This record gives sequence, structure tokens and C-alpha cells, in this order.
Amino acid sequence: MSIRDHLLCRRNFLAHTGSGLGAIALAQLLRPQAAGGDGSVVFDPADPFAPRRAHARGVAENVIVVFCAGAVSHIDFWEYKPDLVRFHGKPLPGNERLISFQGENGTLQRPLWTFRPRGECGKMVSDIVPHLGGCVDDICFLHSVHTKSSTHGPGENLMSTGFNREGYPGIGAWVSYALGTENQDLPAFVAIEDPRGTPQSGPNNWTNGFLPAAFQGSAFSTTRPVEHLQPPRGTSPEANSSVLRALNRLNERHRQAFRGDSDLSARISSYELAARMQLSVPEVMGVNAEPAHIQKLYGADSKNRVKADFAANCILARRLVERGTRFVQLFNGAYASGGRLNWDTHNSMPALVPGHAEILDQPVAGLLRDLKQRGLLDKTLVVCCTEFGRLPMFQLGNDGRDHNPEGFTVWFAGGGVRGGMSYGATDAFGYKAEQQPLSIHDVHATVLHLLGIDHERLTYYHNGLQRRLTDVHGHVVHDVIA
Amino acid sequence: MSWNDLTPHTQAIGRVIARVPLLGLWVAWSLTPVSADEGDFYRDVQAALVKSCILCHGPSKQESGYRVDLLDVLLRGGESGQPAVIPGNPEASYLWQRIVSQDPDQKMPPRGSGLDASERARLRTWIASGAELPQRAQPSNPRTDHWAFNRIAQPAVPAVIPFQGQLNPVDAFIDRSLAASGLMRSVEASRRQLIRRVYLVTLGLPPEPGQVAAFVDDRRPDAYARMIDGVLASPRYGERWAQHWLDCVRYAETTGYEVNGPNGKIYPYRDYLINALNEDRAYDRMILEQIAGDQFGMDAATGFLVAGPHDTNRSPDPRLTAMQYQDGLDEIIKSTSAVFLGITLGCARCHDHKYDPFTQADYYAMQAVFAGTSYGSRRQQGAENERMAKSAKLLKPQLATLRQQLATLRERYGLKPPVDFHAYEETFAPVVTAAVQLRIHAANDQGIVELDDVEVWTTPGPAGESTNVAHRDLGARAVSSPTAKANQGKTADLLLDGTRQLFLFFRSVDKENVWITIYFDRPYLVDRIVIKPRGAHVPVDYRIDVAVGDQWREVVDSRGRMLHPQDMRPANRVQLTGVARQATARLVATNAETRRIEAEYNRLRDGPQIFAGRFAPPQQTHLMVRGDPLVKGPPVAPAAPALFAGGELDFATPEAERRLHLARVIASPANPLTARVMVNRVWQYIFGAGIVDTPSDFGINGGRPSHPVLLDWLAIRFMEEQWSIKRLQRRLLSSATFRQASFSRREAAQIDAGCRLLWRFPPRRLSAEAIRDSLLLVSGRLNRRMGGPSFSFFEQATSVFEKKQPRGTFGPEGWRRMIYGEKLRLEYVGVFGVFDCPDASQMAPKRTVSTSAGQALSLLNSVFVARQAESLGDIARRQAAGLREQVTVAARRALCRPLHREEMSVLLEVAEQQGLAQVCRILLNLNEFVFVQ
Repeated sequence: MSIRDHLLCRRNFLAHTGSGLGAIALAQLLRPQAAGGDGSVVFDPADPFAPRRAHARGVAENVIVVFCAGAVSHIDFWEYKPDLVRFHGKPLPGNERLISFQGENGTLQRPLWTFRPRGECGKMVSDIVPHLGGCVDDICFLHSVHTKSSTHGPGENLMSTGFNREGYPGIGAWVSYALGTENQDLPAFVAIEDPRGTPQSGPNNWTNGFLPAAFQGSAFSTTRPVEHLQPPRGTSPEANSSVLRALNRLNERHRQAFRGDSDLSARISSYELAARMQLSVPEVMGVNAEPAHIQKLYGADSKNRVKADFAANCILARRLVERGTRFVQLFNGAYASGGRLNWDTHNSMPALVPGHAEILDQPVAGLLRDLKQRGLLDKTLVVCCTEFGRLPMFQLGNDGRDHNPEGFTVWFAGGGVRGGMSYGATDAFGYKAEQQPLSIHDVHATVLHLLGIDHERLTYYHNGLQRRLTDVHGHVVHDVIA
Repeated sequence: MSWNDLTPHTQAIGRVIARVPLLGLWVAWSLTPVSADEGDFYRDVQAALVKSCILCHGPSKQESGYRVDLLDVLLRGGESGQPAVIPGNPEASYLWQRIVSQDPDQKMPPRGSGLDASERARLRTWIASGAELPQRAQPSNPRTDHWAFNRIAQPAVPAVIPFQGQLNPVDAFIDRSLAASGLMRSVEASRRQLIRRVYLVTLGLPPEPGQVAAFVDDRRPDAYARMIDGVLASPRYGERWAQHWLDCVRYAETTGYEVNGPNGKIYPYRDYLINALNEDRAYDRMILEQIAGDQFGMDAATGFLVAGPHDTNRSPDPRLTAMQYQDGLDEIIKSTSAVFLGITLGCARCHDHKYDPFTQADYYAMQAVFAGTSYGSRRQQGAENERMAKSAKLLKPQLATLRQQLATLRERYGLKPPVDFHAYEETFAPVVTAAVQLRIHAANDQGIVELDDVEVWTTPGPAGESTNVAHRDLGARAVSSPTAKANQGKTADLLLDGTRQLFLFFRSVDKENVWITIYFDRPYLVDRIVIKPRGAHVPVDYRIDVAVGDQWREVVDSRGRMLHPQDMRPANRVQLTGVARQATARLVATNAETRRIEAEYNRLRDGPQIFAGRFAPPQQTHLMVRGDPLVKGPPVAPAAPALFAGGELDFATPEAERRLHLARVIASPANPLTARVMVNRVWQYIFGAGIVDTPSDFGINGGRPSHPVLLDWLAIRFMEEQWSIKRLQRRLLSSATFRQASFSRREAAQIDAGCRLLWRFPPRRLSAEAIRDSLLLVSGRLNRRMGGPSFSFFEQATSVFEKKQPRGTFGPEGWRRMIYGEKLRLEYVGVFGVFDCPDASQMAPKRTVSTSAGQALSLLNSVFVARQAESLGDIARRQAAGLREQVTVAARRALCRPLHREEMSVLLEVAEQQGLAQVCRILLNLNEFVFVQ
């Protein structure tokens, strides 16, 4: 009998002892009365990550979110605005004296790099990202996203959790709560931090919030190993396995005395998973074992250390979804640092942005190509997002753009979205989302929909409300679905 | 007799079952929901409509003028003109037609699943049987009928046959509802289990072997009561229960949001709680102190108000700033209403509460109560303050003498006034030049240089007119030595914008030999330069040159100025025109002494500063339309929510009186919620789940009480016994309900798997704090020192933005109880954070309990646990000679019991082959060690 079979038997046993009509009736009566339909997910605490059925059949099974921390300039990268060239040097019409996050602004600034048509669809993309430009036939651009905060921390919170304040579950936590995961030897939700450091809002991006802590993202990367994965120094492998064996025997004996307590079984299972992870995590982290042509595809062979490390993180993301991890958050960029460590370029954009773009471009393009050639792109949704956009002007007396929560670009690839497509637009200068504006809740609703989850039915009771990822908002953008 | 007959006037469950003869009936109903189909309008009919319709037909939106929360409108119908409900005729009722319609354009609700079959059946039955409304229904706000919003009645204790010895009234209630569902309480747990349970639940620490033995061997009849009394008197008690309270208020020592820096000295609030709980301070008094402790000489207590997160990231953006102000007050409103009252008033910020009888005006009335409260530190009154004030007074003459000495010296050497931290001027003979240059040799603190602006002014013309030609708009340019790459640009260009801007200023990289050159668009006749620093890092040793031809010519130097009080340069770095070396040294020494005395004087004068909120005369509060921070509605006077009938205060009510008023309304015995909510919290922390399992939400949308009459009975007793928390706890701990065994029983689990009826003591995993503290106690390392500054779980970070690195190893300071560890918002502490430890971003009145591989890895592999295992092994070796005896000692410390034969043989084998420390590692990872049973 394998460990898994053993677990299953035990679970069946629990299912028989732990239910019954009376139990259900009482639980129904005492639970908080649901306001928006009680969509709480029922799961076995002994097995929180067992794969669960979605509300409907989804196209996507896994998600990789590439989060460009610090706010990427949509008008220099993705959304072509010829009027910015025409009106270069003029004030922004209607907002001549706009006070934004850092204060006063100068005049309109033309895109810093040339846009040209790419792929078969002919989408205009800037020269700053040539590799991603080559992937546009698989990409669906959402050019009309807007957000509620113009500060990085709250902006990141909103993009990752649906709320600009802290303490709400991240989208990865919601998804693993809803669906569990396909590989019981690896975490369901992994947050891969950038080699340069932690994003502005840190772990709040992958927090479980008020969901059970099991759904918190596990943060590890090729440059930051899993904590406490290996036994304490000085413990031999034999000592360790003898400890695990004895521990299991004593816990098992104890459980016999407290038959019927699923928490005890859950804890025994967690040690079993921990033991499996001691093997499975080093295996999945073995990015170096990838063949040279794959390393090269991502740029993991680059002499640029940061680029090579970020490329390795992209390979890790692919290896994780390939092995069944449900949700991967892959950060590109660290915290606000004068534009050195992330995209927050309030000054010196012409000098700083190419460095960041080089780190992003080839590795993420490599990820898309690699997923595609392995047939994984169809069921893996890749989302490339950032917390807000940047203004069409330079800041007063400076060669950088200030924060722009009014309009920016998020893009999708794979996972059942239409490639070679652009949805919505900002105004002529790239300032405000104008055509088919999308809130972040709309983006989230669409991601959940692609996974087969109804964003209005995925709920969890907390302090007075059946909470949702999308709060009380959100509409699925059906037009972008293939 | 049907449910309807029993409740002609009220659905307030708590009051109905207060009538003792009906108790059995109610319990029978609660376990057989089918029989309750008829009658209960609120539960069966309105709840379903509220659930499916309220977002569009309720207080915030009234599509087609229809709403389901106002009962007259519910019946009458909306703009369609058709009566929504025709009593006795569902098919003709427009409401029913729309709900059952198959037409996608007609069907209600238009999206989502809507009413399910049983909800529809109940709605139809209600209409068919005449669509009767409860008589007490108030069309304006039907939901004040909710049980928790009604006065607490005095219930009688049910008469049941005592079971297993003497009967605590708590047991009478519990046994009654157990019996009604055919269940029985479990047998009493063993003494070893009991003492371990009492210690872990009450103190968050296991008993030590000596304490276990003493209790097990105590043959006196009141042995258990004595043991409880000892436990409640332990100083460890307050540390355990204060942690629960800190969870509820999301206490942390950092601000939260993206800056998340230290918020000031807030730990006196933590210590206040520990002391108050240990002294068994009356709970109503603790409410007054936490809201208005400044009025009672309890300054630390108001740390409660500012314990939540607040945004310190400033911006000139007016919307952001207004939002930050509103958010800051929102946190105070949310904690006050949720923690003391169990209501979710925060939901009424943008619109009337969707479920509970709280209006948006209620929300802003409470905002008016706190309108003068802000996040900040203030003087802590008391002996320490008086001592410091006295010392300050003594120091004052010395400071005056020193200042006089400096003034005399300055006069003697004929020095000009020192530089100014905000703006100072240098003048020189008029000269025609196209460029000026600053050469800076030192800043006052010998660090980098920061400047906001540099202005160069033309020599005044005949009408006195003068222009700043060092301005970008005139075409001036600036270059400099290297500048910092901080969050925002810090280049020399920023010196030329002519205005003070928050983020845009010059910051050098170097600490000496800093230079800035400003080129004008053409030559000007100039004679004056204004230097505007930013309040720190000010140039004190500099030269100013002007370009004449292709040469620089020095026109001004700083050596003629008196030392600034904050000039930290050593004497050998200071040159003053016309002052000899020795005299300079004396001047520098006197300046340094003055600075030192002045700093000390200021510290003493400010008194002990603690982060407990600042209070100032409040500004006018307005209702903000849709919660928009920029859209002011009508002014709102301070008041507690209208439900509590505390009355409205005058607009001119002074700040402190507002808080006092609110505190008194909350702490009043007439308040229907305060005692219920607190009793329920204590119950939850003892039994694992509350009688109401949504401890900070007693509203319509919260959970329903499993034992409503018991809750009321306990609340009444609590108030009668002077709001004594310890007496309440003693009552619960001495109940047979608490003392029963925790083994699962199959037949009982089939009826009540969640154990809400308490047919056993529900076992549960320990909290993160209890696990860490227990590890330290068992390993013999626990440092019992109480109070004072916190120890850190993290390595010292180099920048606020750097990722915090958890510390691997700790010394005696870090072996204090976890409540004394520095609580950083939004951070998880190493090893123990994964055990569902809240990160203080949200109130956590009930912790989630999860099990993860990360937890297993932490306890198995962390250095911290490995160290404790070694230390436990050391104790065992000291106390016993043979290996078997050593294993016995270690197990007794960890599990409070001797080992069974089979367990001993498993552990002995490990001990022999891998050593005692590995046995201890096993013990500290056992389920039994981390569970209270």
C-alpha cells in the first residue's frame, strides 16, 4: 500500500465518522447566514489541496502571473499613441496643471522607443521588448485597465488581492482554496520573488488573508530556497529518517486513541507532505538540469546576472505548472528604489528602463514559447500585470514619468484567451482608460472565469460578510475568450 | 402548538427561550429544521430575499424603486405600479411572477442562482397563507428585531438532573441541549489531562512536572478549585489573555501600508493589558480606559485607538491625502465597534449598513467622536512624567548659562549668525557673471548634503527690482558632483525650480568635496545668493565662486559664521576667521556641551512619550457622500450609533467628552451587546469556538448562537459580578463541561461532528505563541521577565524596504514569551508565523487553524527547535543517569505524563542509535505536544 492509498483509506474512514444528518443540520443552522449565496468551499482539513471541481468547466488549469513591480509605462511598451509624437512638448489637454503622486508635471513626452508592427496580427509594440514583440500573436492586450490607488503598496495590493488595504487573500490563495492542486508533493501556490528583492507590498501579494493559512503562497525562487527544507545541520540522513519513522509511529498510536479527529490526521499528512517535499522541491528547483537550448531560449545563459537569475525563475515557473502547481506569481522587479531595482522610473527613464526591459523581455518571451512548444500554453494562463501605468508627460524638471492609476495595460496569453488581440484603449495620449474601461475586478473575474470559477460564487465568511476576490464588483470580459 | 404560535410578537430567539418551559421545544426545533418551515418571516422569507435581492433592491440601490428591506415597500411594490405581494395569491403577486419567470429579461435576480427550491417554497407558502408581517415590524428598520440588539433578559437556569457530581449552572444549560438531541456529556478527563488543559488554555504554557505531580497527588476535595485559583493568579495569565485581545485589535508596532515603519513606543499598551488582566480590572472600566484613558491617568490604555494600521506615505495629491485621513479614522471606528460591540459599523462608510440597523449617519457620528484623535505619540502622565519635568526644571539654568556663554563668545569674535536650516543668505559685492559655483566641504552632521533650492539674485535696479536668475524658466542649468539615486531623482536640476517640493531636491552622494555649478542663460549683475536646505544635512563649510572670464573667483566663504548648534564637526575640522585654534576648540566644546544639554533638556521636558494617540480640538465632521473623501455631505454631530439610544452630543462638545460619552454608552449595563460579546470571546478562547462563532459580528449576517440563553445568563452574571473576567473564567473552567474528556465518540460525532453542543472537550492545536512559549518552558529556557521594550524576531535591516531576515538564534532576551516579541505588521516571524499567526493587517477575533507542510518543516528542521531539543536533552541528562530515565524525564516535561511501554521502546531505540537530542526533537514534534486535549 503506497502512502497515497493509505491516506485515501483514512480519508474514507473520516468521511464516515465525521458526517451524518444531524451534523449537517446543526452546521447549517449555526453557520453565518450567507448574504450573497454561501459559496464557501468545503474542503477536508486533512487534505486541503485535493483537486476540487470548479463551478464550470474552465479552459485554463494553471496560472502564471508575471507581476512587473513598480509600474511599467504602457505608452512606452504596449499601447501605441501617435498623438504623443504629434503633441510632444505640449501640455496634456484638459489637465495642464495636473498634480499627481509626486507633484507637478511637465509637457507630453513622446514614446521613448519606436513602435513597429509585429507578428501576423501587425500589433504595434515598442522596440524596447523585441522578444515579446515576436509573441504578439499569442497575446491579448487589455489596454483600458484602471486602478484605485496611485501608491505602489496599495496598488500592488489591489492588483494581487482585489483590495488596496492589507489583509485580503491574494488571487493565488483564492484559486488554490477553490480548486486545490494537481500535485500533492508541491505547494499549490508559489510566489517567486525577483532576484533583486521583495516587491513593495511583500508577502501581502501572496497572503492567505483571512483564508486558512494553508492557502498562503509559498515564497521561494532559484535565488531564495525553501525555508527549513533540510534537516538541521549535523543531523545525518539516517538519524532524520529514524526520527520521521518514530514520530509517525507515535503520532499514529496517539491518533488511534483519538480516533475521528481529522486535525490529528491532517497533521500526520502534513509531515508526510513535508517529507515528500524534501525530494520534490529540490527536483523542481533543478533548473540547471534543463538542456542548453532551453536555457538559451529563456536567456538563462546571459552574462547579465539579474537577467540570468530571472530567466531561471521563469524556467522554475514552467517546471512548477508542468508538475501541477496551480498558481505561480512571478515577480519582475523589487521595491521602490529610485528606479534601480524595479520599474518605478520617476527620473532617468531613457537610461534606466532599457536595463529593466532586458531582464523582462527574453525570459518571459522564452516562457511563452516554451509553454507553447510543450503544449502547456493552452491550459496555462499567463498574465502580465503591473500596479498602474505611467503618465504621458515627464515630471516637471525631470526625465521620468509619474504614476498613472487612470489607465494602463495588462496582457494575457494562453489559457483560452484570444491571441493577437487588443481590447479597450486609453485616450489619445494614453492618460485615461476610455474605450471599454476595465477595473481590476474585471481582470480578476476574467481570470477566475477562465479557470471555471464564478467570481460571485467563490466566497469566504469574514467579519460580517461573505467576502469575494472581486468585492461587490467585476464583470467577465467575454470578448477576450477564444 | 406551532413555532408561530409561540412567537406572536417577536423573533428574538434569546427572549423566547428565556421562558423556561419552552426551552426543550426550542432545542428540538433547532435540531430539526424541517419543522420550522412555517412562520418565521425574518428567517424563512426575508432572509432569502435579502440574500438574493438586496444589492439592487436595498439601502444602497433601489432599482425600479423597489426594496426588500422596508416591509411596506416589499409588499406594495416599486415603480411598475403592480402590487408586489397580493396576500393569499402567489400567482398574481408580481414579486412571485418575476422570481419564477423563465424569461431571461424578466427573471429575478437577473444573474446568479437566485432563490433555491426550498426558499421559493417558503416564500410561496408565506404569500399563500396571507403574507402576514410580524406585528412589531417597523417599516423604517425592521432589523432591530434581531436577538443581539435586544436588551438582555434575565433567564432562569434549566432544571436538569445533576450528572456526575455537583452541577455548575453552565452544565445545566449544556446538558439540557445535549439531552434534547439525545447526547450526553463525556466522562471526566484524567487529572493529568485536566491540569495540562487548564494550563495551556489559561496560561498558554504546559505545567511543569512538579505541578503535575502535586495536583495528581492532591487528595483534598477542592484540589481542582485550588489548582484553578493558582493558575488564575499566575502572572503568566495576563500574558496569555492579552494576546487574545491584541489579536482582536490587530496590535502591531509598525504602521502598516507600504512604509510600515515603527509607529512609536506602543508596547506600554501591551503591558497595560497584561497588568489590567492580571489584576482582574473590571471589564467596563477597561472599556473606559481604552477609549478615554487619558481622562483617568491611564494614558497607555488609549494605545487601543491607534493600534491599527495607518498610512504615513505623504504626497501632494489632494485625493490621496483626503483618503488617508478618512482611512485613519476608519480603522479606529472599525476596531471600536467590532471589538467592544461586535458590530460591523465599518460597512456603513459608503452607504447604510446592508443588513444591520446602522446608517451612514451612525458611521460619521462615530467618526465625529474620534475626529480629534490622530496617530501619534503623547506624554504619558504619572510619576515618571513628574520626575522628568522636575529634572528639566533643574537643568534649565545650566542651559541658559551655556547659551549665554556662546552668545558672549560670538560677540567677542565678531562672527555672523550661523547658517539656517531652512534658508540663509550670502551677499557680496555686485559682480557680472554667467555662472556661480558652491564648493561644500562639510555638512553640519558631516554627512551628505541635501538642498531644496539655490537662488541667485540680481543686484536691485533703481526701483529695487531683483530677479532670481538661477531658475529653470530663465534657462539656467545646473551640474554637480554625483547625486543620490534615491526613490526619486535627486539631481542638481532640482535646485532651479524655485519652489519647495516634497520629493524633488538635491542629495549628494559624497560627504565632502561636494560641488554644484549653476550656469545662467547669460551674464547678470548679481550680489546675493539664497541657500535653502531641507531642515537637515546643511552645508556649514563652503565657498562660493563666480565665473569671471574663464576663471572662478571666490566671493564668499562660510568661515565668518558662528557655529550652528547642530554643527557636529570636531574642532580640528573647524576654521573660523579671526579665531585662534585654541579658542576655536573651546567654542566647539561649549557648542557641543550646549547641544548635549539641550537635547537632554528637550527629552526631559517632553516627558515619557508613548504611542497612544494624539488628541486635538476636532474639526467639523461631515457625512462623506458614497464614502468619497472629497464629496462632503451634511455636518454630523458626535454620537454613538442610534441603536444604543445614547443621544446625540452638541457639535461643540469638547474632544475628550466625546470619547467619554461613547465609552459610557458602550460600557453601560443597558447596552445589549457589550457583555454578550465579551462573554462570548472568553467562551471561545476556553472552548475553541464561541457560542456565537462570529465573535466580532453579532449582526444579522453573523452566526447564530448555539446556546442563546446560556449566553444571556453568562452576560447577566458577568455584569452582576462587577464585570470580573476571572470570575467568569473560573465559572467556565470549573464546569463539568470543561472537565470532560476529549475523546471522540462515534455516535455523538454522527449527530454533532463540529461539537457545538459540547459532548466532549473539543481538542485543538495550540496557537503559534503557545507552541513557542511551551517549547521554551519545556527546554528550561523560558525567560519570565515581564513588560518593557520588545525583542526582535528579525535581523537589523539596512533599509525600510529591505526584506526582513528572520533571526536564526536567540539569547535570553529572545527567550521571553512571544507576546514580548516585536510585532511587525505584515510580517510573519520565522518558524512560528506559519502557525496561523495573524499579521495584524486585519482584526483577528478568531484565528484560522490550518495544517501545512511548512509548519511541519519549521518544527522539524529549524535551528530554533533543534536548540530547544538539545537543551531539553541537557536537562534530562542532568536529572537522570540512565538513558531510559533520561527519556522519561524529557517526556514528562513535554507531555506531562509517563510513557507507555511501546512508546518507550520506540524512543529508546532512537536514543540509543541517534542520541537523546533526536528523541527530544521527536517529542517536540508530536501531535500530542502541540494539541490541547
